[in-house]
Amino acid sequence: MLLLLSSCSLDENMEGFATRENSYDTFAEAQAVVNNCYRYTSFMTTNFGLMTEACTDIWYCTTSTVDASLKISPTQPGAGSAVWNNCYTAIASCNEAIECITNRSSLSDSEKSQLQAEARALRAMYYYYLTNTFDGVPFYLYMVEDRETQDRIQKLPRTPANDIRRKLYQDLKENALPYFTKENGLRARPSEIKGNRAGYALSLMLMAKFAMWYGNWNEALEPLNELEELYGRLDEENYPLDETRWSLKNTDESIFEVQHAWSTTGVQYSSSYGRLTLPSYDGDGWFNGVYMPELGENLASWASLRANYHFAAFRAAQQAEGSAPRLSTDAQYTSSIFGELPLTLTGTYLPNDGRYAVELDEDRYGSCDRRTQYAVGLGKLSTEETFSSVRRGINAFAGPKLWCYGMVSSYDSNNYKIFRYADAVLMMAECYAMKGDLTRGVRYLNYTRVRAGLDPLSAAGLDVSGLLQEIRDERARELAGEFHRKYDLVRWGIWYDETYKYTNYASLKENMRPCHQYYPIPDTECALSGYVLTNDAYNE
Amino acid sequence: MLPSLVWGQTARTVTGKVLDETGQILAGAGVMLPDGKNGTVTDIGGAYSIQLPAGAEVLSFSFLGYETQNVSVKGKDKVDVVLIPEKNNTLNEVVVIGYGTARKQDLTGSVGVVKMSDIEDVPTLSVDKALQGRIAGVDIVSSGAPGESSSINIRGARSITASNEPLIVVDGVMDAVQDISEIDLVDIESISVMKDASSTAIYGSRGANGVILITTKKGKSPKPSVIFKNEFGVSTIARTLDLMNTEEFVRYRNDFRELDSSSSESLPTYDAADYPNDTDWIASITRPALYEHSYFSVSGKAGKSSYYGALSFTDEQGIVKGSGVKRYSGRLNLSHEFTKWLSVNMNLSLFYSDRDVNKAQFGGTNISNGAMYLAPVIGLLDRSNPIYENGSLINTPYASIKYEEYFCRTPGQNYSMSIVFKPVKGLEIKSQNSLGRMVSDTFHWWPSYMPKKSSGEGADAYRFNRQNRRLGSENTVSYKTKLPSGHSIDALGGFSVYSTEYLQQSIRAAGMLDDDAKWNNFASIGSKENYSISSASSRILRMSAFARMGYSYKNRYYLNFSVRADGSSNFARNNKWGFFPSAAAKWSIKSESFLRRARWLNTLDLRASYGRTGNDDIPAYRSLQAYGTTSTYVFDGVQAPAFSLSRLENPDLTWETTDMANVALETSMFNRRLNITAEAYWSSTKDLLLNVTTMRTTGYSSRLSNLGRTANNGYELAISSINIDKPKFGWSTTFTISHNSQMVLDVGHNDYVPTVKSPGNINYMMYGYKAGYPLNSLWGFEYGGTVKSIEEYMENLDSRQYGYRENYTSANCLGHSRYVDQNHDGVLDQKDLVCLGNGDPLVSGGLQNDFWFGNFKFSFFIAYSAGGKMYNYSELYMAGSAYSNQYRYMLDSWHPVRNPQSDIPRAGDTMNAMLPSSLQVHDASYVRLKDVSVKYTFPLYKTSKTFKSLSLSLSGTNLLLWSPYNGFDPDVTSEVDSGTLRRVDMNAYPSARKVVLSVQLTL
Repeated sequence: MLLLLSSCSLDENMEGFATRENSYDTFAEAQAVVNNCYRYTSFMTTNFGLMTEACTDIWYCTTSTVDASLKISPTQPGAGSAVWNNCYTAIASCNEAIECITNRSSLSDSEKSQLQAEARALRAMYYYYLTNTFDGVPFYLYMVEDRETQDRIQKLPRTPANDIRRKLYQDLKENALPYFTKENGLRARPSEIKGNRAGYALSLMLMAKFAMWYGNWNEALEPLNELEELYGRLDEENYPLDETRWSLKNTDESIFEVQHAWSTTGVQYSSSYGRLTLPSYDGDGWFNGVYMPELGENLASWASLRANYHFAAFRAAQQAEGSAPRLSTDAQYTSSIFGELPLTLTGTYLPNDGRYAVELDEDRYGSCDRRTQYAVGLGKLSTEETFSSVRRGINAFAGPKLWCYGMVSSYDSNNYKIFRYADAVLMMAECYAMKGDLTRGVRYLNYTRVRAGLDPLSAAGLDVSGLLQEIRDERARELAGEFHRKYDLVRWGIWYDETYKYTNYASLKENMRPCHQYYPIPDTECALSGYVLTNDAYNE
Repeated sequence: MLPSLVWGQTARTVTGKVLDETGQILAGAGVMLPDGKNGTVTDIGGAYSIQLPAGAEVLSFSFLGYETQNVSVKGKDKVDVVLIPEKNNTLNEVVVIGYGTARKQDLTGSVGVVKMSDIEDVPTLSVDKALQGRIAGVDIVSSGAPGESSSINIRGARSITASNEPLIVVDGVMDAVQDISEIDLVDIESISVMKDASSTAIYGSRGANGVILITTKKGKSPKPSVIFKNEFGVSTIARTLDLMNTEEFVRYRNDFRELDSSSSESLPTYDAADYPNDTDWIASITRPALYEHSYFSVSGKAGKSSYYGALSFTDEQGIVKGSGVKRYSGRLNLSHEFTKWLSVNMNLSLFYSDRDVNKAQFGGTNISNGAMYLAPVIGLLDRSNPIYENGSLINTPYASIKYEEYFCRTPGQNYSMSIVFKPVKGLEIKSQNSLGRMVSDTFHWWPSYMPKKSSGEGADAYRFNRQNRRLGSENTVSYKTKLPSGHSIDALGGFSVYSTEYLQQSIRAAGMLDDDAKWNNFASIGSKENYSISSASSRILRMSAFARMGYSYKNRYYLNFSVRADGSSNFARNNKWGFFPSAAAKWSIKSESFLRRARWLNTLDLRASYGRTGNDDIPAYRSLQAYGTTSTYVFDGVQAPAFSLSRLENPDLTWETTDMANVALETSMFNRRLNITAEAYWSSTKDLLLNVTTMRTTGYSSRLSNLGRTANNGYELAISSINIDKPKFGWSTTFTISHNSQMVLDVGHNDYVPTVKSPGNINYMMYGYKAGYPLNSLWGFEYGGTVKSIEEYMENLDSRQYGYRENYTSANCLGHSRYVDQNHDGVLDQKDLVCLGNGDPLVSGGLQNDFWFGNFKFSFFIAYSAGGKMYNYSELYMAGSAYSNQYRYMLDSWHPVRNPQSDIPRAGDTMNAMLPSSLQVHDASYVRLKDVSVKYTFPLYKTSKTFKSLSLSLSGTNLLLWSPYNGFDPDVTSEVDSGTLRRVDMNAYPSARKVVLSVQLTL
């Protein structure tokens, strides 16, 4: 009893857990707080792919997930809730890291400044996705110190998206860029940085993206020029097209990629977008009529991402109900962004398919856009086998660029290259075009065209809108499937019209409305804000 | 001590013994001459010796609480007498209360006493499962799985985030058990349930949810008493679900295919002939399960020492294959009186439970592999669920049972020793010190050949170890005195200290190369990346000082005050100490002169009490800011450690405070054959420990605060009567009925606090708190039937009477479910949620009936509950969903040709049903024939010197259930850890019906 009393203290025993007070003593500890800020990129998964790619002019997907057919509403926010929850949790973590590292840690000034700059770049990225997805959102850059801070944040209204973008542009310019230096080795491409940590390149990319959203082309070109200085010339020699495949990790062209790894018995940090970008699975190693066991085992059978006719059309043959099979007369080669696919009708009738077969045309690979091989799934190129749905004249799948090899179930271990240099190059083309500088616009556009094996365009005979159209189509070809398409279309103000015009998915066409260009803020969050936050566009 | 009177020459002496009905000796029993003036009492060995005057042929034997017997002693010198307990009189019963005992007639607070004789024949591993409905105001629900704890609410729930479970005190030691099921029912001498604040305030910050005091048996008679008890029985699933078979399911799928335009392209037309399977998933994983219980005890008194030793073994198989629990327990209670003023008691208990944890999923959120959800077309060991479209691999519940190993071993020890000094009459100084240790070891193994695993993936293994150590010290001084003037005083003061330490660690390995070593060789992992390891520890210290003062005058007026000051390390720096007072008064009206003539009335008592108690039952360190530690994002191919935001500091975090007032009227009449206790109470709880949902923009999803208020009030009525009381035949009845209504008055600045949310990517509150609504309100949308015509749909575009869960168009709206758009804003959202009912019953209780025919005893107990509502959670996934099997009523769903007027949503109404609505809310009322037993006792003491009695009994539990609820059982909960939530049927284990044969031999 006496023993008990002598040990009596009503203080909590503080062993065994980390706190704000004890987690910034060493560089490794402080970095562990920053590490956490990366984790919330996990919202980039299947449904995010449906949100950003499948509801656009280039792709569709007939999955029952609400995002694919835009059956979304404030009460059914679909993938929007994952974007919202993850991004804000990440932003709070970034704010915490920035504040604590800067003002509460005992690290050296150079250690502090580099870690906080990294957190700022990540914070800007999360706001980038929030504003792209929801338009204006509550915006704050301070640490959630205590409960009073929380209460204040809960009452924040939407800040207009462009105000957020302008503030973050300045924040990155003043508080992040200066701390990535040649001396600390961080003024480099991520492929050259240990751990491929985010920093200089990501900050520049985000600044340019922000400036393009608010339409200040000079401000956009400033960081883009710095990127050009860092990355140099985009051509096949420096940046081979083959390396744009997501299964190749942290290649030189990378600006930021979400890291994944999955093996049955090793590191398991993965997503499932890859399952969407594979062709439909028949089982036992067969994918839509082509044997490709290298793609994986025990795969889940999901509805695949499919190309709209507008993106890549090949309608080989048709058979009217009850009539004799006949060759197609309405093949829509001409209207598609990718032009004619390297396939040839054979005239061989396939009774099981009820279609005429097609063959891959080897010769035409040389002359056509090489990206068809990567972006559009036609079959197994090495054996010249086409997918049976291409034989049937139905839409192409997503191509090997986005395929994940050796998948098990739905674990996609690809890195998601969400920002890469080709994107920046095309952004430069667009900025110059918008400034009326057609020559430079075409020059930058041609970098990606030439790498893909196309002839360079000439500025002659192009006006601004003609060049813009070329850039828009080029972005579709170059960046297809990489989570950009919807954001681009929304930024250009043409998302609803283009998607409505070109989608092949009846259910999406039926449901989509102009307000869907931005996702609704989840209704439960609006309620918690006391309806300071509303989704007015959705109530009309 | 043998006073006697000599009546002349013819006087003679009669000697003998007085025993009780079980053959134990009765010391101090009165032996009287018929004149009633002269007599003696039995000595400590139960023996008496009395001199009879000439002509006296009858002696009267009496003992407190026993029927007085007049026995003829004509021509006998030696007469042994067995006294039978007085059936009616419970007044002199000694009731265990906090830090002491009291005669029942002196109680000023609300204490429910469990009649042990009512439950002694209930075959159950855990005594709590036998108690439901037996004490007014006590609600017990459990998950149904053997060995899993129950959730007990006394007078409802008042906390939202903190626990609502009562404090359990065993032989004076707090927290001596983690769960009541650690104690064998046969070891229990008495159970007292303290319900009002005046009884519980002595437990201060722990008392707000009521207190259950359990006292274990002690040795009583000089002659050793030996008991052997053996029970053997069988249990089966009590009720199954009305689900579709293959033929019906195929029809449903074809309807779905026909009606759903967007998916018809990809869906095949089903033909029943293609499906050889017709799997009844529930039947495939359940079984008749065996029950066995053996118990052996020796007890007695030797001189100044008493002893009680018992060993017991229980093996209760679960009705779900592969589940069950084996419990071994031992107990030794010793006491010795060294001198008149010094005695020592020691209680030692050991137990070991070996629980096979249930591996099967029934429902809940396990949509792809829950037994309720799996389609009948799927085979027992199939690797995928074709209905669940994405083709992910699954382990069917059948496969999980067949391949997995999963059990939990829990050894525990409790030692306590108390020293009692009685230096002068009435003064008692007691120091009780205890230590306890409990270890819980969990083993879980998934072999590499589980269907869900791919080749090369290897086996998974998991080990979890948790231990806690508890040191406790309770020290009291009490003084009792009764003055000749009629004033009595009973005072108590003391202090206590409890220190508890928790340690835990777990390791999980994925991808073990070796299938044979199971969890015994964690080094055989393929890659060290695939360990997940955790460890944690916490310490809680509680210090208290308390006092109680009781006063009474001539057994007519009673006053009682108690106070406790509690300090807990669990609370934040600004609020370490709390103060909990109470007061109670009682007036024995019958003792007043104006009622003296009312001979039919035996007692009439009015009592009232008021007190304050607290609740500090939240995990340790909640007031401190913390980061979580997690292994996370990949850098250079490996996952680097990271600190994540876990919670913010709250320096003011403190306990909840409950104020409770109680009034009661107690009466006993007609020679104590009718006893009625009526009580009413009002309680209000403030500073709720509330896990408040915060906006995700703040970086946290919730935070623990002291916010909000709730209020409870209720009525309880308990009536016990002896209807027939003949020497050879008797019938008694006990009836309880209680009503408890609990309201949320304030949930801080929240509009609402959800406790159960719907699944899917937007989570609506299904159960939750909103100011002005009952605590256990069910929330959801108001179902508006189906869309039956396009005109209706078009009209609604203007009237906005209904909303839909998805955007429909006039082309595809028919047969889809619709919900009332309460605010007619054209959008179905949070603002359209309405309260769909109260989860708490209007009234609940039980009815016990006992009959005696000579040595036969027949009893049955009916438990009932009326007026509560309940979600059938599984219907969220099943009613019209595209992914699961269906309840059979879906055959009557809307169909354009067959059933155009049906209000049941069409097949495949939505891919992701999951919108909680009145469609899934059911009446949870029930009447249950809970316990029945027939018992015959052979009075062996009449013929044998060795054996006292042999009894045989046949008993059954949960034999019949009447309920409109369409799930397994309306009285289960899957949320046993959340004391607030009652009756949430999410993946709950189905309840069993059990029949048991029991043999008890007493020596």
